Amino acid sequence: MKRINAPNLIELAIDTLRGGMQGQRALGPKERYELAMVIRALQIARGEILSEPEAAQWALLDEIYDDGDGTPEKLARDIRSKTVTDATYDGLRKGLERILLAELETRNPAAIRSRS
Amino acid sequence: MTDRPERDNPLAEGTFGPLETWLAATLGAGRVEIARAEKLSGGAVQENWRIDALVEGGRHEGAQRWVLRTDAQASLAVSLDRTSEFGVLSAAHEAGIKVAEPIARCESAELTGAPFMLQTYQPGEAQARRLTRDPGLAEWGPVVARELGRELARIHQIRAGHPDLGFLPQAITSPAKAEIARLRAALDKAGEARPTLEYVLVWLEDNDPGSEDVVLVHGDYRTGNYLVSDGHLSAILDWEFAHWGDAREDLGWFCAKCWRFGNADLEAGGIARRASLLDGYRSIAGNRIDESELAYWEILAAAKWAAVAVLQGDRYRLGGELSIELALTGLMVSELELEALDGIAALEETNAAQ
Repeated sequence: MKRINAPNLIELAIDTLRGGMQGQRALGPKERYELAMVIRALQIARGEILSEPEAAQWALLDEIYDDGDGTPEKLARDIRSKTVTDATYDGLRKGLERILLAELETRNPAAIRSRS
Repeated sequence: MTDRPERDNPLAEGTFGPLETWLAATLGAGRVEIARAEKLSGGAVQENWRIDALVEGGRHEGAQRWVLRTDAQASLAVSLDRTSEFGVLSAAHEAGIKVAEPIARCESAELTGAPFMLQTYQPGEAQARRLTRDPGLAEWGPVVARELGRELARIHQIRAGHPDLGFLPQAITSPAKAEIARLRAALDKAGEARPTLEYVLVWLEDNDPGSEDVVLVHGDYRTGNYLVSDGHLSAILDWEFAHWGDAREDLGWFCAKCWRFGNADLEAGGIARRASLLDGYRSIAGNRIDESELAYWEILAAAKWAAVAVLQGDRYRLGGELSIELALTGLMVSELELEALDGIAALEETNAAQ
């Protein structure tokens, strides 16, 4: 299963660009070079992407599950079954919000700025 | 998610014969000749084709322009099939609501690779970004918003028990809880766990305001699903999410932040203030719904779209569809969840202040 995360998204973008380059015989050497640079920049960005969203997620899971066995799937199940609630864990909503903000810092910073 | 086997272009040039034969028989015509079939843009889970045809004999004699609507390669399990959607469209048309006229439906997949329905082609612009960026928006936006409000009120006059809509599943609990259950069922099949979305659904369940009436709900009433022509509403589109529910669900969906396409201050679908929509709604429905009631349903709207975004992302994650659009849609879940959390905080603050 392919996760939709920054590295996979950039890989998909790179493959899409490469496919476009192969199909464009009309591209001159300058355009090809520029596209190659774009691809290279994406490759570097992909390498530099930190797992900040995952760090926030694991931090919350470690706080809630002190046995170290927390996973996003377990947390989702426990929230639905009300095993984990605002009452059982005071920082639940804030912790979930921190994860979202960390995700959006990378994916869509404008969504954070547009909060009213 | 429903997967369909790969199929060839169902309406490629030179393949019209069987469809023409079927149309002639169905419409009571002597002959139908399809001059052109063009795939229309938009429609993540449906495929829409514009058909130009010449009909000889029968009620539809003459040059006709239709829209043939069929399922995309992968459809959402929460959407109606084409024949059910045809039934809803027919009921809406009969009630005088501004929709395309339903023409015919075919339950067989033999002709085009999937069941389909045929409706009249309506003029106008539906593309959300074009509408919400239109230079004339300040002039036509409030007008169209009021018209949309009036049509929505007419839709909500169709009540559970309608003789032609028995195929729609009845809500056995409150409409809000039924919707939450539908979203959970969809998430159970998802390829990604979303604890925040589960949190939002628990909050929605615990804070269900209750419903007095169960009415026909469009289910996807938003900018992008109606046509505007010459500064007025031309037709309401895309009925595949229709179901029995609470009227406020449609109003909340239309006004949700996620459907304003960047026009944050124009709460009604990014085209006008919320008051314009409600003015139109109340002109038909009376003063049944107060603006303050919509906050809960706008939170539900964000949760619903977040669940749909998860499923769209699954077409990339699990289904192998290498589409940047699908992958990016899947990534929208975070901002939709944040929108829901912010909505919850705002509503709790409002309630605490009262």
